[in-house]
Amino acid sequence: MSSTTLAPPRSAVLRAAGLRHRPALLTLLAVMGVVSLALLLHGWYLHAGLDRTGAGSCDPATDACRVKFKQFLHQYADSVPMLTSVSYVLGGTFGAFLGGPLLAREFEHGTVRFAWTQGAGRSRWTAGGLVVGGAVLAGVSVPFGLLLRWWSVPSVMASGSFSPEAFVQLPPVLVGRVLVAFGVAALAGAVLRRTVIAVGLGLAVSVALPFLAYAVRSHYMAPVEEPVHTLAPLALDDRWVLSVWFSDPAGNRISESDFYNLGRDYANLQSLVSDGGYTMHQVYQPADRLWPFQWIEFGWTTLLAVALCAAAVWWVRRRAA
Amino acid sequence: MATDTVIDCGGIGKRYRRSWALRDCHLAVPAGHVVALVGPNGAGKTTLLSLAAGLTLPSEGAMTVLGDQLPGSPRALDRIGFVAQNAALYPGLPVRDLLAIGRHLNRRWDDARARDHLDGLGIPLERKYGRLSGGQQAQVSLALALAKRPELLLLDEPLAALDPLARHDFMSALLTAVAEDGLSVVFSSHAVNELEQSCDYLVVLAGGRVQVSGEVDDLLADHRMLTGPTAEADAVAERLPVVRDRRAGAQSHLLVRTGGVDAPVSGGWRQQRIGLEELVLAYLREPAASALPGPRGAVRPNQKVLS
Repeated sequence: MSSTTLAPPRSAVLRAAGLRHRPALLTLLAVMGVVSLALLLHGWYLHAGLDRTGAGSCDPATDACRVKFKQFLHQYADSVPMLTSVSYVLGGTFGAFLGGPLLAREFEHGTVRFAWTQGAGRSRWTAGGLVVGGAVLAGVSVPFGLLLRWWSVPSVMASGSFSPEAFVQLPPVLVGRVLVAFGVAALAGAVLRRTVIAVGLGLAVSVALPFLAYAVRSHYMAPVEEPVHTLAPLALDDRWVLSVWFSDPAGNRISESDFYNLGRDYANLQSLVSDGGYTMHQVYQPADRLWPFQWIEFGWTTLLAVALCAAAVWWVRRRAA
Repeated sequence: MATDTVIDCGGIGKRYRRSWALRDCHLAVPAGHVVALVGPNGAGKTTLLSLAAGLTLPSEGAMTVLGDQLPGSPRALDRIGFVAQNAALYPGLPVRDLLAIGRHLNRRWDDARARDHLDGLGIPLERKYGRLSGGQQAQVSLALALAKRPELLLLDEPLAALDPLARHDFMSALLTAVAEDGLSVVFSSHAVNELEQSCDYLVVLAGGRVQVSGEVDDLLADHRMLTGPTAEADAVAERLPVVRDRRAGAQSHLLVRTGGVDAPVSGGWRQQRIGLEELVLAYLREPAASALPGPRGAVRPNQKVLS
């Protein structure tokens, strides 16, 4: 019996799922639009500040430029750290609020009894909803990530592209995180059948995920080690310094505290590494690994999200209504 | 494909946690009937319909629908329409979108029929489902189920939430479709008094088991209400299967099964045929009695090959 050919084509199921979820998707777009407008206005204010103080256009290696940037931070960007932490939560929120009701509300309203008795069957219907929701979410997260990046330029200037809060705002990682929140909330909705709990779990995971990802991020590629003969930060290089260690003139490794005990003050220590034969070894991820790291994190988070959605379909398939 | 039964189950059971909603349930519903499924709350009506619609899986035994199809299989989903209790659909969507969803999700879809059905009742397609009256919501659900041109239509308490006028409209729309398409219908209902005009086959469920199953005409012909002297009641009860036995002083009322003929009783007894409502109520009051008559009665477990 060729039972698989009986159901309507996949494209039709996707169109049906699009109609079904259109109100939720329109709401998502409206909320994202409002948030984006707020970010645009605040971003415009920050960028105008960068221009006015000249901190945006000067050479960041120079002391004069650092002064300008400090001046800018002082005048404009007091609220940026707080807003940056908000943006940690923001992306995942969209995923959780779209994913939570997607299946849970079907159970709460009893509409599964309509949806699952149509010719397409419950698995295709569930998969169709997840595909439509996930695709729209991923699609709108890309421009939203670009906007977040533009908005957070001052924070990136202050702490570098590899800083945890800047890294998670770039589109690839943002899309991955939003999809994981979506998948967790959808799966929780299928299993627990309660919208509120499903959204809550999605939110919790979307907040926890950046910390988990940060813990494993430095292991994506083997770090590079480089001997350095200055203690001053390499301002032009956007590298991600993981750790430093020191060696004495004979090449023996000495602990960081032993090294700092050698000199009286910063100038003295600086002269030890620049002329005294001591070496500082930086263990770091080079700046040009930013995008490879973005894609690696996008890859595993998106795979996780796909696995969560597949688990939701599997659950719906084996569970009774 | 010739289909002689629309629901066929031998010894099916469904357990929710610790309690059995349906147990050792034997039923073979022939095609071409409008079947009323009645029983008290918790008798297992919704469970039986959910099993037939493929919404839930049995804990024991197996069921086939439309001949040899497994409930919930693509072929069965294609040919069965289901209207759920309270007719729940997406409240935020306009009727037009609900029709489009149905069209996209089914291979067989008669859009014109659904539109004619709704136009005839003056239900605007632009109106959101959640803003329709209860009767209109039920009609939309029915229109969606009928647009699949199903061979079997399952309805779970379709009338429960409707006012008398809406009930009448709903049943007349349903019976029109039956007359036009010759589809089989199984609906559960509490409205025992309205069954006689609408159904021609009766299934009574009680305590998770099938108590009565048969064509209405056969069932009515098979039962007699005997009224006579209490002194002779025991003698009558020994010879005939008694469904319900009420003794009030000198006179007794015995509802007996006679096999389609008048009961062989003495002249001191008066015998009457009874109506469907009275029959159903008698069985509901006597859960231990059963009537599973005829060659199309319930299938015994040893006769039914479980697939």
